Amino acid sequence: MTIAEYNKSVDDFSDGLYRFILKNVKDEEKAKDIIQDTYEKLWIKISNVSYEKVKSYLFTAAYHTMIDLIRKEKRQENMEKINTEIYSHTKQYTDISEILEEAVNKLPEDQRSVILLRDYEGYSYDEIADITGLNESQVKVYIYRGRMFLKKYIGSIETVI
Amino acid sequence: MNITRENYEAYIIDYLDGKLNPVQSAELMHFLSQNPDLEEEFNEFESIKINSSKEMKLNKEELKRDFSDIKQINDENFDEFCVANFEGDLNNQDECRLKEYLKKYPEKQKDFDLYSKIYLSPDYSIKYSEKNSIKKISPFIRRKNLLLYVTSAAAAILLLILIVYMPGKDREGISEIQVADNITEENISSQKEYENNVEVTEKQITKGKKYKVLENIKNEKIAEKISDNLPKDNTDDKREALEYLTPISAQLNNTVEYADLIMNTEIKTIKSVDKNKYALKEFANQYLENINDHSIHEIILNKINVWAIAEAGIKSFNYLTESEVMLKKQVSSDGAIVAFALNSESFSISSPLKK
Repeated sequence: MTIAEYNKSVDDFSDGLYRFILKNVKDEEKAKDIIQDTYEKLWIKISNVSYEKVKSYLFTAAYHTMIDLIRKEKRQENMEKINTEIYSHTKQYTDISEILEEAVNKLPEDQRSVILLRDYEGYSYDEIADITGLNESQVKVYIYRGRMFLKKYIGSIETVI
Repeated sequence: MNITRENYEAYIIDYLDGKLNPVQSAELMHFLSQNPDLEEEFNEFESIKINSSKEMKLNKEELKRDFSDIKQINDENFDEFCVANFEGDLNNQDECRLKEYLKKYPEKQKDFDLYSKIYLSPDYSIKYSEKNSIKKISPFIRRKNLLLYVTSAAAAILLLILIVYMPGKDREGISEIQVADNITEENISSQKEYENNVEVTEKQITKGKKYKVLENIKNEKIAEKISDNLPKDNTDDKREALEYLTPISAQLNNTVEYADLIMNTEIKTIKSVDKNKYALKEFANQYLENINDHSIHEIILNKINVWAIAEAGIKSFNYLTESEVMLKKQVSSDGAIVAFALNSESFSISSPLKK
Protein backbone atom coordinates (compact mmCIF):
# COMPACT_ATOMS: atom_id res chain seq x y z
CA MET A 1 0.00 0.00 0.00
CA THR A 2 1.33 3.43 -0.86
CA ILE A 3 1.40 6.48 1.39
CA ALA A 4 -1.36 7.98 -0.72
CA GLU A 5 -3.49 4.86 -0.20
CA TYR A 6 -2.74 4.94 3.52
CA ASN A 7 -3.91 8.56 3.68
CA LYS A 8 -6.97 7.65 1.62
CA SER A 9 -7.75 4.91 4.13
CA VAL A 10 -7.70 7.60 6.82
CA ASP A 11 -10.20 9.67 4.84
CA ASP A 12 -12.38 6.72 3.89
CA PHE A 13 -12.51 4.56 6.99
CA SER A 14 -11.52 6.51 10.09
CA ASP A 15 -15.02 7.95 10.59
CA GLY A 16 -16.72 4.55 10.46
CA LEU A 17 -14.03 3.03 12.61
CA TYR A 18 -14.38 5.82 15.15
CA ARG A 19 -18.17 5.43 15.30
CA PHE A 20 -17.81 1.69 15.84
CA ILE A 21 -15.25 2.05 18.62
CA LEU A 22 -17.00 4.99 20.24
CA LYS A 23 -20.27 3.06 20.44
CA ASN A 24 -18.43 0.27 22.18
CA VAL A 25 -16.19 2.11 24.63
CA LYS A 26 -18.48 5.14 25.09
CA ASP A 27 -15.50 7.39 25.71
CA GLU A 28 -14.33 9.83 23.04
CA GLU A 29 -10.73 10.05 24.23
CA LYS A 30 -10.33 6.30 24.47
CA ALA A 31 -11.93 5.87 21.07
CA LYS A 32 -9.51 8.39 19.57
CA ASP A 33 -6.57 6.63 21.22
CA ILE A 34 -7.68 3.32 19.74
CA ILE A 35 -7.97 4.84 16.26
CA GLN A 36 -4.51 6.36 16.66
CA ASP A 37 -3.05 3.01 17.75
CA THR A 38 -4.82 1.20 14.93
CA TYR A 39 -3.46 3.47 12.23
CA GLU A 40 -0.03 3.28 13.84
CA LYS A 41 -0.20 -0.51 13.50
CA LEU A 42 -1.29 -0.13 9.90
CA TRP A 43 1.58 2.24 9.21
CA ILE A 44 4.05 -0.30 10.56
CA LYS A 45 2.58 -3.00 8.33
CA ILE A 46 1.95 -0.74 5.37
CA SER A 47 3.97 -2.91 3.01
CA ASN A 48 2.05 -6.06 3.98
CA VAL A 49 -1.49 -4.73 3.72
CA SER A 50 -3.12 -4.06 0.38
CA TYR A 51 -5.64 -1.28 -0.02
CA GLU A 52 -8.36 -3.82 -0.87
CA LYS A 53 -7.90 -5.46 2.54
CA VAL A 54 -7.22 -2.35 4.56
CA LYS A 55 -10.76 -1.82 5.84
CA SER A 56 -10.93 -5.31 7.23
CA TYR A 57 -7.43 -4.92 8.68
CA LEU A 58 -8.39 -1.67 10.38
CA PHE A 59 -11.55 -3.07 11.93
CA THR A 60 -9.75 -6.19 13.07
CA ALA A 61 -6.89 -4.25 14.63
CA ALA A 62 -9.23 -1.71 16.22
CA TYR A 63 -11.50 -4.42 17.61
CA HIS A 64 -8.62 -6.28 19.24
CA THR A 65 -7.08 -3.08 20.57
CA MET A 66 -10.44 -2.23 22.07
CA ILE A 67 -10.85 -5.66 23.63
CA ASP A 68 -7.34 -5.45 25.10
CA LEU A 69 -8.15 -2.06 26.54
CA ILE A 70 -11.40 -3.28 28.03
CA ARG A 71 -9.67 -6.27 29.58
CA LYS A 72 -6.93 -4.10 30.97
CA GLU A 73 -9.45 -1.92 32.64
CA LYS A 74 -11.24 -4.98 33.94
CA ARG A 75 -14.49 -3.76 32.65
CA GLN A 76 -15.33 -6.83 30.68
CA GLU A 77 -18.67 -8.20 31.68
CA ASN A 78 -19.86 -11.73 31.55
CA MET A 79 -20.48 -12.08 27.83
CA GLU A 80 -23.33 -14.47 28.14
CA LYS A 81 -25.15 -13.16 31.13
CA ILE A 82 -27.86 -10.62 30.69
CA ASN A 83 -28.96 -9.21 33.96
CA THR A 84 -32.70 -9.04 34.21
CA GLU A 85 -32.39 -5.70 36.01
CA ILE A 86 -31.32 -4.08 32.80
CA TYR A 87 -34.88 -4.19 31.58
CA SER A 88 -35.89 -1.73 34.27
CA HIS A 89 -36.16 1.87 33.11
CA THR A 90 -37.40 5.16 34.47
CA LYS A 91 -36.28 7.52 31.73
CA GLN A 92 -38.59 9.45 29.41
CA TYR A 93 -38.05 8.76 25.71
CA THR A 94 -38.90 10.85 22.70
CA ASP A 95 -38.38 8.28 19.97
CA ILE A 96 -37.47 4.68 19.28
CA SER A 97 -33.86 5.47 18.39
CA GLU A 98 -33.20 6.67 21.94
CA ILE A 99 -34.57 3.44 23.35
CA LEU A 100 -32.55 1.44 20.87
CA GLU A 101 -29.41 3.39 21.75
CA GLU A 102 -29.93 2.59 25.41
CA ALA A 103 -30.65 -1.05 24.65
CA VAL A 104 -27.47 -1.39 22.58
CA ASN A 105 -25.45 0.04 25.44
CA LYS A 106 -26.81 -2.70 27.66
CA LEU A 107 -25.75 -5.53 25.38
CA PRO A 108 -22.75 -7.63 26.37
CA GLU A 109 -19.55 -6.54 24.62
CA ASP A 110 -19.39 -9.35 22.07
CA GLN A 111 -23.02 -9.06 21.06
CA ARG A 112 -22.78 -5.29 20.75
CA SER A 113 -19.63 -5.48 18.63
CA VAL A 114 -21.01 -7.98 16.15
CA ILE A 115 -24.31 -6.15 15.84
CA LEU A 116 -22.55 -2.82 15.25
CA LEU A 117 -20.32 -4.38 12.63
CA ARG A 118 -23.36 -5.92 10.99
CA ASP A 119 -25.56 -2.81 11.05
CA TYR A 120 -23.01 0.00 10.69
CA GLU A 121 -20.69 -1.58 8.15
CA GLY A 122 -22.91 -4.27 6.64
CA TYR A 123 -20.38 -7.03 7.20
CA SER A 124 -21.37 -10.64 6.58
CA TYR A 125 -21.13 -13.34 9.25
CA ASP A 126 -17.79 -14.63 7.97
CA GLU A 127 -16.31 -11.13 7.68
CA ILE A 128 -17.34 -10.41 11.25
CA ALA A 129 -15.82 -13.74 12.25
CA ASP A 130 -12.52 -12.68 10.65
CA ILE A 131 -12.53 -9.34 12.40
CA THR A 132 -13.48 -10.60 15.83
CA GLY A 133 -11.64 -13.90 15.79
CA LEU A 134 -14.85 -15.75 16.57
CA ASN A 135 -16.11 -18.53 14.36
CA GLU A 136 -19.04 -17.94 12.04
CA SER A 137 -21.47 -19.91 14.17
CA GLN A 138 -20.56 -17.92 17.26
CA VAL A 139 -21.08 -14.68 15.37
CA LYS A 140 -24.51 -15.85 14.28
CA VAL A 141 -25.41 -16.87 17.81
CA TYR A 142 -24.33 -13.49 19.21
CA ILE A 143 -26.28 -11.62 16.57
CA TYR A 144 -29.44 -13.65 17.17
CA ARG A 145 -29.18 -13.29 20.92
CA GLY A 146 -28.46 -9.60 20.60
CA ARG A 147 -31.43 -9.02 18.30
CA MET A 148 -33.77 -10.87 20.60
CA PHE A 149 -32.56 -8.81 23.53
CA LEU A 150 -33.05 -5.55 21.65
CA LYS A 151 -36.56 -6.55 20.61
CA LYS A 152 -37.43 -7.57 24.11
CA TYR A 153 -36.05 -4.30 25.51
CA ILE A 154 -37.94 -2.14 23.04
CA GLY A 155 -41.09 -4.20 23.54
CA SER A 156 -40.93 -3.78 27.30
CA ILE A 157 -40.56 -0.01 27.00
CA GLU A 158 -43.32 0.31 24.41
CA THR A 159 -45.59 -1.46 26.84
CA VAL A 160 -44.69 1.08 29.54
CA ILE A 161 -45.17 4.02 27.17
CA MET B 1 10.49 -50.50 45.08
CA ASN B 2 8.51 -53.33 46.54
CA ILE B 3 6.11 -54.80 43.99
CA THR B 4 3.56 -57.19 45.42
CA ARG B 5 0.42 -58.88 44.16
CA GLU B 6 -1.53 -56.14 45.98
CA ASN B 7 0.00 -53.16 44.27
CA TYR B 8 1.25 -54.49 40.93
CA GLU B 9 -1.64 -52.81 38.89
CA ALA B 10 -0.39 -49.36 39.77
CA TYR B 11 3.09 -50.29 38.59
CA ILE B 12 1.75 -51.74 35.36
CA ILE B 13 -0.25 -48.56 34.64
CA ASP B 14 2.78 -46.38 35.39
CA TYR B 15 4.83 -48.58 33.12
CA LEU B 16 2.30 -48.23 30.30
CA ASP B 17 2.22 -44.49 30.85
CA GLY B 18 6.02 -44.39 30.64
CA LYS B 19 6.38 -43.14 34.18
CA LEU B 20 8.78 -45.85 35.41
CA ASN B 21 12.52 -45.42 35.08
CA PRO B 22 14.62 -48.25 33.58
CA VAL B 23 15.49 -49.74 37.00
CA GLN B 24 11.83 -49.76 38.07
CA SER B 25 10.79 -51.20 34.70
CA ALA B 26 13.36 -54.00 35.11
CA GLU B 27 12.04 -54.74 38.59
CA LEU B 28 8.49 -54.90 37.24
CA MET B 29 9.55 -57.30 34.47
CA HIS B 30 11.32 -59.47 37.04
CA PHE B 31 8.20 -59.54 39.23
CA LEU B 32 5.99 -60.51 36.25
CA SER B 33 8.37 -63.29 35.22
CA GLN B 34 7.95 -64.75 38.68
CA ASN B 35 4.14 -64.49 38.42
CA PRO B 36 3.10 -65.93 35.04
CA ASP B 37 -0.63 -65.34 35.59
CA LEU B 38 0.01 -61.66 36.13
CA GLU B 39 2.30 -61.56 33.13
CA GLU B 40 -0.55 -62.81 30.99
CA GLU B 41 -2.76 -60.06 32.40
CA PHE B 42 -0.02 -57.51 31.66
CA ASN B 43 0.14 -58.64 28.03
CA GLU B 44 -3.59 -58.07 27.70
CA PHE B 45 -3.17 -54.55 29.05
CA GLU B 46 -0.42 -53.83 26.59
CA SER B 47 -2.55 -54.80 23.61
CA ILE B 48 -5.11 -52.15 24.50
CA LYS B 49 -4.20 -48.98 22.64
CA ILE B 50 -6.33 -45.87 22.43
CA ASN B 51 -6.60 -44.29 19.01
CA SER B 52 -6.40 -40.55 19.25
CA SER B 53 -6.32 -40.30 15.54
CA LYS B 54 -7.84 -38.33 12.81
CA GLU B 55 -10.42 -40.91 11.88
CA MET B 56 -12.29 -39.93 15.00
CA LYS B 57 -13.13 -36.45 13.71
CA LEU B 58 -16.81 -35.76 13.33
CA ASN B 59 -18.31 -34.32 10.25
CA LYS B 60 -19.84 -31.28 11.91
CA GLU B 61 -21.61 -30.11 8.82
CA GLU B 62 -23.71 -33.26 8.84
CA LEU B 63 -24.84 -32.47 12.35
CA LYS B 64 -25.86 -28.93 11.59
CA ARG B 65 -29.49 -28.08 10.97
CA ASP B 66 -31.24 -25.39 9.02
CA PHE B 67 -34.56 -23.61 9.44
CA SER B 68 -36.03 -25.90 6.83
CA ASP B 69 -35.31 -28.79 9.23
CA ILE B 70 -37.74 -27.32 11.74
CA LYS B 71 -41.04 -28.93 11.04
CA GLN B 72 -43.26 -26.18 12.29
CA ILE B 73 -43.04 -22.67 13.62
CA ASN B 74 -44.23 -22.34 17.17
CA ASP B 75 -43.99 -20.03 20.17
CA GLU B 76 -40.52 -21.27 21.03
CA ASN B 77 -38.88 -20.77 17.69
CA PHE B 78 -40.93 -17.82 16.43
CA ASP B 79 -38.38 -15.22 17.59
CA GLU B 80 -35.58 -17.07 15.89
CA PHE B 81 -37.56 -17.15 12.66
CA CYS B 82 -38.21 -13.41 12.94
CA VAL B 83 -34.52 -12.62 13.38
CA ALA B 84 -33.61 -14.94 10.54
CA ASN B 85 -36.20 -13.25 8.35
CA PHE B 86 -34.70 -9.78 8.85
CA GLU B 87 -31.14 -11.08 8.66
CA GLY B 88 -31.91 -12.63 5.30
CA ASP B 89 -31.20 -16.16 6.52
CA LEU B 90 -34.52 -17.68 5.48
CA ASN B 91 -35.12 -19.21 2.10
CA ASN B 92 -38.32 -18.46 0.19
CA GLN B 93 -40.06 -21.53 1.52
CA ASP B 94 -39.32 -20.65 5.14
CA GLU B 95 -40.40 -17.05 4.56
CA CYS B 96 -43.75 -18.36 3.31
CA ARG B 97 -44.07 -20.56 6.34
CA LEU B 98 -43.48 -17.55 8.58
CA LYS B 99 -46.08 -15.49 6.72
CA GLU B 100 -48.60 -18.28 7.05
CA TYR B 101 -47.86 -18.50 10.75
CA LEU B 102 -48.45 -14.77 11.13
CA LYS B 103 -51.73 -15.07 9.28
CA LYS B 104 -52.75 -17.86 11.54
CA TYR B 105 -51.66 -16.01 14.67
CA PRO B 106 -52.20 -12.27 14.00
CA GLU B 107 -51.38 -11.41 17.61
CA LYS B 108 -47.78 -12.24 16.75
CA GLN B 109 -47.66 -9.51 14.12
CA LYS B 110 -46.76 -6.91 16.76
CA ASP B 111 -43.71 -8.88 17.83
CA PHE B 112 -42.74 -9.38 14.23
CA ASP B 113 -42.98 -5.62 13.60
CA LEU B 114 -40.81 -4.91 16.61
CA TYR B 115 -37.99 -6.89 15.02
CA SER B 116 -38.03 -4.53 12.08
CA LYS B 117 -37.26 -1.63 14.43
CA ILE B 118 -34.13 -2.97 16.05
CA TYR B 119 -31.74 -2.31 13.21
CA LEU B 120 -29.19 0.39 13.88
CA SER B 121 -28.12 3.04 11.46
CA PRO B 122 -24.84 4.90 11.88
CA ASP B 123 -24.84 8.47 13.12
CA TYR B 124 -22.96 10.17 10.31
CA SER B 125 -22.59 13.35 12.33
CA ILE B 126 -20.00 11.52 14.41
CA LYS B 127 -16.70 12.05 12.66
CA TYR B 128 -13.13 11.44 13.57
CA SER B 129 -11.72 14.91 14.00
CA GLU B 130 -8.02 14.14 14.11
CA LYS B 131 -7.46 12.71 10.67
CA ASN B 132 -4.61 15.06 9.93
CA SER B 133 -2.68 13.88 12.95
CA ILE B 134 -2.58 10.30 11.64
CA LYS B 135 -1.92 11.10 8.02
CA LYS B 136 1.64 10.70 6.82
CA ILE B 137 3.65 13.04 4.66
CA SER B 138 5.90 11.56 2.04
CA PRO B 139 9.64 12.39 2.31
CA PHE B 140 9.35 14.38 -0.91
CA ILE B 141 6.60 16.64 0.44
CA ARG B 142 8.48 16.99 3.72
CA ARG B 143 11.52 18.13 1.75
CA LYS B 144 9.40 20.52 -0.26
CA ASN B 145 7.93 22.01 2.93
CA LEU B 146 11.39 22.42 4.35
CA LEU B 147 12.45 24.27 1.23
CA LEU B 148 9.40 26.49 1.52
CA TYR B 149 10.36 27.41 5.07
CA VAL B 150 13.93 28.09 4.03
CA THR B 151 12.91 30.25 1.09
CA SER B 152 10.39 32.09 3.29
CA ALA B 153 13.08 32.84 5.82
CA ALA B 154 15.43 33.97 3.07
CA ALA B 155 12.77 36.24 1.63
CA ALA B 156 12.15 37.72 5.07
CA ILE B 157 15.84 38.39 5.60
CA LEU B 158 16.21 40.01 2.19
CA LEU B 159 13.18 42.16 2.84
CA LEU B 160 14.68 43.25 6.13
CA ILE B 161 17.91 44.21 4.36
CA LEU B 162 15.91 46.19 1.84
CA ILE B 163 14.10 48.11 4.54
CA VAL B 164 17.19 48.82 6.61
CA TYR B 165 19.61 49.80 3.87
CA MET B 166 17.62 51.11 0.96
CA PRO B 167 15.72 54.24 2.06
CA GLY B 168 17.68 57.38 1.13
CA LYS B 169 20.96 55.56 0.79
CA ASP B 170 20.77 54.58 -2.80
CA ARG B 171 18.44 56.99 -4.47
CA GLU B 172 19.81 56.24 -7.87
CA GLY B 173 18.39 52.82 -7.68
CA ILE B 174 15.25 53.30 -5.68
CA SER B 175 14.01 56.80 -5.17
CA GLU B 176 10.45 56.18 -4.11
CA ILE B 177 10.88 55.23 -0.50
CA GLN B 178 9.82 57.96 1.78
CA VAL B 179 10.14 57.65 5.51
CA ALA B 180 7.52 59.65 7.33
CA ASP B 181 9.69 60.37 10.33
CA ASN B 182 12.11 62.37 8.25
CA ILE B 183 9.54 64.43 6.47
CA THR B 184 8.42 67.87 7.56
CA GLU B 185 6.92 70.87 5.89
CA GLU B 186 10.31 72.55 6.00
CA ASN B 187 12.23 69.98 4.07
CA ILE B 188 9.87 70.04 1.17
CA SER B 189 11.80 72.83 -0.51
CA SER B 190 15.10 71.09 0.06
CA GLN B 191 13.68 68.05 -1.57
CA LYS B 192 13.10 69.89 -4.79
CA GLU B 193 16.76 69.62 -5.53
CA TYR B 194 16.64 65.89 -5.03
CA GLU B 195 13.51 65.53 -7.08
CA ASN B 196 15.15 67.26 -10.02
CA ASN B 197 17.77 64.57 -9.94
CA VAL B 198 15.38 61.69 -9.82
CA GLU B 199 13.29 62.41 -12.85
CA VAL B 200 10.24 63.89 -11.31
CA THR B 201 8.15 64.19 -14.39
CA GLU B 202 5.06 65.93 -13.14
CA LYS B 203 4.27 67.37 -9.75
CA GLN B 204 4.94 67.10 -6.11
CA ILE B 205 2.07 66.49 -3.81
CA THR B 206 2.57 68.21 -0.50
CA LYS B 207 0.88 67.83 2.85
CA GLY B 208 -2.44 69.64 3.00
CA LYS B 209 -2.27 70.37 -0.70
CA LYS B 210 -2.52 66.92 -2.05
CA TYR B 211 -5.66 67.49 -4.08
CA LYS B 212 -4.78 71.00 -5.27
CA VAL B 213 -1.49 69.89 -6.62
CA LEU B 214 -3.26 67.64 -9.03
CA GLU B 215 -4.75 70.69 -10.72
CA ASN B 216 -1.31 71.71 -11.76
CA ILE B 217 -0.45 68.52 -13.45
CA LYS B 218 0.27 69.34 -17.04
CA ASN B 219 -1.35 66.37 -18.49
CA GLU B 220 -5.00 67.18 -17.95
CA LYS B 221 -6.16 63.68 -18.69
CA ILE B 222 -4.12 62.34 -15.84
CA ALA B 223 -5.29 65.07 -13.55
CA GLU B 224 -8.89 64.39 -14.35
CA LYS B 225 -8.53 60.71 -13.77
CA ILE B 226 -6.80 61.13 -10.46
CA SER B 227 -9.13 63.79 -9.18
CA ASP B 228 -12.09 61.71 -10.23
CA ASN B 229 -10.79 58.74 -8.38
CA LEU B 230 -9.56 60.37 -5.23
CA PRO B 231 -12.65 61.80 -3.59
CA LYS B 232 -14.81 58.83 -4.53
CA ASP B 233 -12.46 56.03 -3.69
CA ASN B 234 -10.62 57.61 -0.84
CA THR B 235 -11.16 55.86 2.40
CA ASP B 236 -10.25 57.28 5.76
CA ASP B 237 -7.21 55.07 5.74
CA LYS B 238 -6.06 56.48 2.46
CA ARG B 239 -6.46 60.06 3.69
CA GLU B 240 -4.58 59.30 6.85
CA ALA B 241 -1.79 57.67 4.95
CA LEU B 242 -1.53 60.58 2.59
CA GLU B 243 -1.37 63.05 5.45
CA TYR B 244 1.06 60.98 7.35
CA LEU B 245 3.42 60.44 4.50
CA THR B 246 4.77 63.84 3.58
CA PRO B 247 6.04 64.94 1.24
CA ILE B 248 4.58 62.59 -1.27
CA SER B 249 6.25 62.63 -4.62
CA ALA B 250 4.15 61.68 -7.53
CA GLN B 251 6.34 60.82 -10.39
CA LEU B 252 4.23 60.42 -13.40
CA ASN B 253 5.30 59.40 -16.83
CA ASN B 254 2.69 61.41 -18.67
CA THR B 255 0.62 58.30 -19.13
CA VAL B 256 -2.86 57.57 -18.09
CA GLU B 257 -1.89 54.02 -17.16
CA TYR B 258 0.46 55.22 -14.47
CA ALA B 259 -2.14 57.51 -13.04
CA ASP B 260 -4.48 54.55 -12.77
CA LEU B 261 -1.80 52.58 -11.06
CA ILE B 262 -1.31 55.28 -8.48
CA MET B 263 -4.93 55.50 -7.57
CA ASN B 264 -5.89 51.87 -7.69
CA THR B 265 -3.00 50.47 -5.71
CA GLU B 266 -2.59 53.30 -3.26
CA ILE B 267 0.95 53.74 -4.48
CA LYS B 268 2.21 57.00 -3.15
CA THR B 269 5.11 57.57 -5.54
CA ILE B 270 5.92 56.25 -8.94
CA LYS B 271 9.06 56.27 -10.98
CA SER B 272 9.86 54.84 -14.35
CA VAL B 273 10.91 51.20 -14.29
CA ASP B 274 14.48 50.86 -13.17
CA LYS B 275 16.26 47.76 -14.36
CA ASN B 276 18.47 47.70 -11.31
CA LYS B 277 15.57 47.97 -8.94
CA TYR B 278 15.11 45.22 -6.40
CA ALA B 279 11.78 43.48 -6.21
CA LEU B 280 10.54 40.48 -4.28
CA LYS B 281 10.32 38.53 -7.46
CA GLU B 282 14.01 39.11 -8.04
CA PHE B 283 14.76 38.19 -4.43
CA ALA B 284 12.91 34.93 -4.74
CA ASN B 285 14.41 34.12 -8.12
CA GLN B 286 17.87 35.06 -6.89
CA TYR B 287 17.47 32.66 -4.02
CA LEU B 288 16.10 29.92 -6.17
CA GLU B 289 18.96 30.27 -8.62
CA ASN B 290 21.30 29.40 -5.82
CA ILE B 291 19.64 26.08 -5.39
CA ASN B 292 21.75 23.53 -7.21
CA ASP B 293 19.16 20.82 -7.46
CA HIS B 294 17.53 21.73 -10.77
CA SER B 295 14.62 19.35 -10.34
CA ILE B 296 13.69 20.94 -7.05
CA HIS B 297 14.22 24.34 -8.58
CA GLU B 298 11.76 23.52 -11.33
CA ILE B 299 9.23 22.11 -8.92
CA ILE B 300 9.38 25.20 -6.78
CA LEU B 301 9.11 27.50 -9.78
CA ASN B 302 6.17 25.57 -11.12
CA LYS B 303 4.32 24.64 -7.96
CA ILE B 304 5.27 27.36 -5.52
CA ASN B 305 4.31 30.77 -6.69
CA VAL B 306 6.90 33.45 -6.12
CA TRP B 307 4.16 35.59 -4.67
CA ALA B 308 3.41 32.89 -2.16
CA ILE B 309 7.04 32.91 -1.08
CA ALA B 310 7.04 36.69 -0.88
CA GLU B 311 3.86 36.70 1.18
CA ALA B 312 5.23 34.00 3.44
CA GLY B 313 8.40 36.04 3.85
CA ILE B 314 6.45 39.15 4.74
CA LYS B 315 4.34 37.22 7.22
CA SER B 316 7.50 35.90 8.82
CA PHE B 317 8.96 39.39 8.88
CA ASN B 318 5.79 40.78 10.47
CA TYR B 319 5.92 38.04 13.04
CA LEU B 320 9.56 38.68 13.88
CA THR B 321 9.34 42.47 13.99
CA GLU B 322 5.71 42.78 15.10
CA SER B 323 5.16 45.16 12.20
CA GLU B 324 2.33 45.25 9.71
CA VAL B 325 3.85 45.33 6.29
CA MET B 326 1.35 44.51 3.58
CA LEU B 327 1.97 43.29 0.08
CA LYS B 328 -0.54 44.46 -2.48
CA LYS B 329 -0.74 43.43 -6.08
CA GLN B 330 -2.10 45.30 -9.06
CA VAL B 331 -3.87 42.89 -11.41
CA SER B 332 -4.65 43.78 -15.00
CA SER B 333 -7.91 42.94 -16.75
CA ASP B 334 -6.38 39.74 -18.14
CA GLY B 335 -5.45 38.58 -14.66
CA ALA B 336 -1.72 39.27 -14.86
CA ILE B 337 0.02 41.00 -11.98
CA VAL B 338 1.33 44.28 -13.36
CA ALA B 339 2.59 46.02 -10.22
CA PHE B 340 3.02 45.51 -6.53
CA ALA B 341 3.31 47.68 -3.47
CA LEU B 342 4.62 47.20 0.03
CA ASN B 343 2.80 49.35 2.53
CA SER B 344 3.29 49.95 6.20
CA GLU B 345 2.78 52.75 8.66
CA SER B 346 6.22 54.18 8.05
CA PHE B 347 6.97 53.52 4.42
CA SER B 348 5.52 52.62 1.09
CA ILE B 349 7.26 50.99 -1.83
CA SER B 350 5.78 50.40 -5.22
CA SER B 351 6.99 49.05 -8.51
CA PRO B 352 5.55 48.02 -11.83
CA LEU B 353 6.58 44.58 -12.99
CA LYS B 354 8.44 43.69 -16.12
CA LYS B 355 6.13 42.49 -18.85
